[in-house]
Amino acid sequence: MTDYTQVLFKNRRPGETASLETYEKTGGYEGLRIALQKTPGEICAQVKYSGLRGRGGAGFPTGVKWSFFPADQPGEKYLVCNGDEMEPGTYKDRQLLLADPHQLIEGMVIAAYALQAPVGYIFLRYAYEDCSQVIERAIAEAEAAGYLGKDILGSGFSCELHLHRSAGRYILGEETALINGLEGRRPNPRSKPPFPAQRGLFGRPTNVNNIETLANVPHIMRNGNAWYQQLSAPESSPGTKLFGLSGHFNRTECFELPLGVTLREVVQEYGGGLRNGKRFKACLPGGASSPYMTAEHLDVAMDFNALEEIGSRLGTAGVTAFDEDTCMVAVTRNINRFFARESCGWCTPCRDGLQTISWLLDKIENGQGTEDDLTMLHDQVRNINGRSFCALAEGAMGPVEALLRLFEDEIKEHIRKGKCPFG
Amino acid sequence: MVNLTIDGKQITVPKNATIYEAARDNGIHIPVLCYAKKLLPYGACRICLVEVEQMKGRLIPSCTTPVTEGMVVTTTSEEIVKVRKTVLEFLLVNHVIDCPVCDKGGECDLQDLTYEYEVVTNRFEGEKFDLPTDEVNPLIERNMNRCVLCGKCVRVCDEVVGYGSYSFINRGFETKIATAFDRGLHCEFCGQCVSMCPVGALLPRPFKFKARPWQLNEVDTVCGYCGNGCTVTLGILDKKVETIRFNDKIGVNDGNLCIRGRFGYSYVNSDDRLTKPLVRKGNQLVETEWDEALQVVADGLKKAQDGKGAGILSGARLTNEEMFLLKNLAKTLGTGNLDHSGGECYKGVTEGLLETLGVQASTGTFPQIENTDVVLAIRNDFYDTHPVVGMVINQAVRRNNAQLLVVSGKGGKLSKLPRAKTLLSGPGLELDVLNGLCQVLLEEGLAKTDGLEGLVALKQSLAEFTADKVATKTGVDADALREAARQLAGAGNAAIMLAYGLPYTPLSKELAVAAANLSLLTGIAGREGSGIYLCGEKANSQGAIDLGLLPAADGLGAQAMLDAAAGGKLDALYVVGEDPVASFPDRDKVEKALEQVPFLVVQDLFLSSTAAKANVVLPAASFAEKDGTFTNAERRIQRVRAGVPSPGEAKTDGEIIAALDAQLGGSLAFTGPEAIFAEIGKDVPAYAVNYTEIGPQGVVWGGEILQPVARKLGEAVAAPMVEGAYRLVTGSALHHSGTTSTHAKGPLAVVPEPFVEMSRADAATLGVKEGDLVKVAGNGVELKLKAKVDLRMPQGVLFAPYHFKESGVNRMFKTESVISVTISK
Amino acid sequence: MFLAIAKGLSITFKHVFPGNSTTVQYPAVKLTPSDRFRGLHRLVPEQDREKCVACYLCPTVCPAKCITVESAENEKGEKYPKVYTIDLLRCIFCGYCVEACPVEAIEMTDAYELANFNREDFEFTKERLLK
Repeated sequence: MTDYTQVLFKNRRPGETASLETYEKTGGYEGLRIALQKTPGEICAQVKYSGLRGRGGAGFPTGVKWSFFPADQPGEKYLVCNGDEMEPGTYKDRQLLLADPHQLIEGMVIAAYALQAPVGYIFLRYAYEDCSQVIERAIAEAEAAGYLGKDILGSGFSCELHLHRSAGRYILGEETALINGLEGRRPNPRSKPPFPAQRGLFGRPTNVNNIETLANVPHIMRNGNAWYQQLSAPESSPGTKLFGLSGHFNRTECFELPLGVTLREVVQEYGGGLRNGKRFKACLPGGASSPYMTAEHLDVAMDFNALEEIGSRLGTAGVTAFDEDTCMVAVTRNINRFFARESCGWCTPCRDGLQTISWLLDKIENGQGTEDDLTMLHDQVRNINGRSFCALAEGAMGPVEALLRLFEDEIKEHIRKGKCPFG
Repeated sequence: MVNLTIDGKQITVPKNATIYEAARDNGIHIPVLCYAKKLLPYGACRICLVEVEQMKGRLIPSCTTPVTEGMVVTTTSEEIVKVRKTVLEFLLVNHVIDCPVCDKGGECDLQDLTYEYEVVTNRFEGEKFDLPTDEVNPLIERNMNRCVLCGKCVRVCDEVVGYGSYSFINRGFETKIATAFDRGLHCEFCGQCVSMCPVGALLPRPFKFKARPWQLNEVDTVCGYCGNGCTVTLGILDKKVETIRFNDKIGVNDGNLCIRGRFGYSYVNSDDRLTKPLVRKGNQLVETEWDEALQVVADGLKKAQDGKGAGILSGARLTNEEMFLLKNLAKTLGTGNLDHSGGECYKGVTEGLLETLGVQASTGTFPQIENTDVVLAIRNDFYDTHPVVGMVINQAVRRNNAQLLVVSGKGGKLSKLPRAKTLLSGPGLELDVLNGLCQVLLEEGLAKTDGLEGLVALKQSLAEFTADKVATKTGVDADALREAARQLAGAGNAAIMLAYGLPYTPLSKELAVAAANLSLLTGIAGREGSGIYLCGEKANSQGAIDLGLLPAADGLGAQAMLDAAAGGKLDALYVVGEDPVASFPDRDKVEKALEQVPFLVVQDLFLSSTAAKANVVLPAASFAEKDGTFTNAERRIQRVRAGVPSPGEAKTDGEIIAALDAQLGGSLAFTGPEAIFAEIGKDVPAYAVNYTEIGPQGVVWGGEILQPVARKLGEAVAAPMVEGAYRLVTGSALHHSGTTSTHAKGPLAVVPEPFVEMSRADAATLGVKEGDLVKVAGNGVELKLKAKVDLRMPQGVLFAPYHFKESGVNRMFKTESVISVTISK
Repeated sequence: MFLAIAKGLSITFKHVFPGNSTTVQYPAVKLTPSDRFRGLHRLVPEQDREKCVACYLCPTVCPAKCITVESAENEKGEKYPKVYTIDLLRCIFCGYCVEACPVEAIEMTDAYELANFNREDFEFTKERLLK
């Protein structure tokens, strides 16, 4: 294992959450002090030029997103932190919060200042009881130390943060659904335009960022863009990323690695190979909504652009590995069941389309599939992709599309044998 | 304006249009399921997907995507057709194909689309649901197995009606639309959801299995209930009104209706309708022929006119033409004793507005309310009397962020709208609160006093109405009162809403004067986009006022006629389309008057409690059986069209009046509505409109904004304070209008009998549960009424609506608006 | 020419002999119409009710407008034809009603003896059509 620079996990100790004191000792809240010396515009520009990309899954440049935000507009504006980490195979934000929660608080205050949105909401996944306690304590500590609340560090800028625990549905991770959920409505995604930056929470401009994205901001403020960009090799994807390993790995842990490490390094060095010495068959590189990578992709660099080139997505970098004994049809079926269940039921292709795919995969996995079903599956992926209201159905199609692209033989074997070849 | 190309056609549309709207307005067909004109863009069904050159790679929902300059749109291609087919297949996966027994068959959007896209087989097989149908309520059948989850019912109930009965529940494939706790519908029953449903998931129960849509004849007419003047489209099968059809293409109401409009039509078909003239012989009313009946009436009226005199008392649901004939009949008869609907209750407009603004009508039109910044509603009952204007207010509040201020003695629907501020006063003290608002405006220098007459006198009379004094008397918070006055003064566009009608007779003039004062001090009266709205209770209340169906200078008004009759000073009374016994204040007096008067003629649809006392009863026609015009509460003259023939020998009021006039030796002839309307134009300049030019939106006389001809402030008067542990007020209930709706099955199914409404706290104190029979005693009268317990009533305030003749509420209310009562189990 | 006449007459005379006759001794003998013959209508019964669900497609499609349907709701909440009448004097036996029926509730039998003495007897009510 290479000794990569640890940024977000700098203060990670097993079974221990970094206190404010520890955080301050390692340069904590220095970024905030530096940021408050600058104008909001300068901070936005710096974040933009740092090249920081959203860590929630889409990899959209954070600075660009911020530049769309009408910071000068009078009236209430909101900053929302998306902590509804519901993507299967993803647990990085939880690790981050449990290791060093003040990074998020500091990042949010800087973002709130940069966007002139002095009210922030942390929207946390329902199941993260432990994190909610950690965040509440961190907010209280930050308030007591003057990093949060009225007139922060004598700058005249005030900021309040609220913790909101989600009602616990996958769709709440979609930013407009999250806003609906935060308002107390049914979490259906909203139609865009208007984008949240124009009309978001309570009809006011709102900026939504992932926990990990916001946690990167203080480090960029403190150490500068040059330092940030040298953390990783690819120019398009600077900085480090939390990789959460799960599935058939020998070691299922969360590691902070520079973007651009190869999949081979992740699998062999960090995952410690696959359990029982089995061979690597495939993996989901970034949560259940990212298309599979197979053994032939082992030398692909794990960064946003390189993965897109091979038809996958880095997503949340929650890598789930499957060994050679795994039936990929069954895996895909299970994943698809999850998405069909978690569809909000708003638009037809997602609500009914995912269910029909679920039935088709059930049929094939149970050995009752026909060639027609395979054709239909191909057809359905095209019918659903790009036709639905939000990105949920598209995400759900990721693994199905990859199954058809990479494992068509395996499907055909199911059909030919009339049963699952993996028993 | 934005230029774009759709299917090779260059078009220019307003910049806030969506692709779908741009296509539709230019004759290009894009199929839709979840889109509705009056609802916000939704984009869930994905039928309307189109290709946009600038957004290659994915299909764009045309109903939610705004147009942009230079956009190139393709609405059909092989791929698009395939996607639409797939969406239909998806929808049909769990849709029960029970078209043969589904009443929507023939006008079902899903059926039409399935046909258009030739979806003959479904590639997908899946489970169909077997959800139970909601048959708890009497009016709306909900069969969720047929639902396509377009969400129109959810949205219309929230966005337009503001009730919020429905929501989506569950996720994914199991998503469905449900009411609170999935317990069945219990709401206002306006039926908006039924009208919006594209499939047969929501259907009107009264129309269940009655007919197929293509069998129905459709006739557009105007609802005969309240002064809102909604266009209703009668669905007629075999000369019978079987349903009210959805129609959002014409009319002032945009397809919105209330329970009365949508489900209250059935009185037209009632078996209780009078079909032959009745003449009293001995103690019995006996069926006779028209000739004989008219002769008896003519003789009786002539004799009376030669004696102590005759009087004519009309309802306000006659058409303008009929009222005109009636007015001329009075001339033929030689009497000046002519009035309509209680007379006194119309004083708000006929005297209050006349004395202050110099006009006798609302100064704005309803569509303007949607774009106001502040709406002041006087009494929460405004929603109950005029629900569809209430929906316009709701849209002003929800869509355009208008501030709603409610001055009311009790809670209600309007108070529940978002950000609504209710100045909750003691019962019947709204007048004081309005005066208080005027006083704050003057005190804080917010009033626009230029060119106003009577300012000094008003200031003097307002001395007693400082915010603090009003607060002490009415219980309204003084700061809230001040804040409301400031908001009203600061509003760009504002509307003041006040309803009048029979149960609101006491203090009607004073309340209108106070509202008019407020409109003058804020500059609302006559300002572009603003207005003071005095809305009549009945379909043609405004017409009656415009045509001057009022006592002559030497004549007696309604109350005076009744007084005279009771005192033996009137020999005949001719009552047209009104049931004074059931609805006028002071029933004892009315009964005495009708018993005392030697000759009583009643012309009505039913053998009402008034008709039962008559010497002659003449069977008349309902709104669905006659042609003519109604003028609604915003001065809009609209065509009423006959859809069905009258039952038996019943005749329209116009025909009866003309025939009677002939018997009396007059020269009136029933020459048809067009000719009579032309005659009206000669008499009333505002009505000098070509009858054939009255289009689907009607004609608003006086223009969108009616300029006040005077600006004279009236003096402020205080409402009498009534003390007591329990205070009873009366008024209108949402589900009924006048007494006619008590003959209609729809409203009766929901509110079948009189009730007294009370707060939960009072109910707990009295140990009364919903539905218990309670005794309410006051003013020397004791009533037995069913208790209705809810949250809207303040403690110690009781409300009993006046519609039901059997309740006798109007026996208790004589001239007062609030009565101190005792209540016991 | 003579030959042709003889040939023609031979056919004529052939029918004089028994066994070559195309007429039958109606009413003593009755012909069986073909399977696709369109005779008197029949409403198909189903357990305790008629199969018809009163969808109004047959009266709508009927070119002679001879079918009268009135739908209603029975005790079970199902749609059924309270009235179903065919006026046979108007019927042109085109069979469109059979074609249009979505539930196969109406069929055409081979009954062709439809003469009657009274006009009213040509009104085939639901009860008669169900037999």
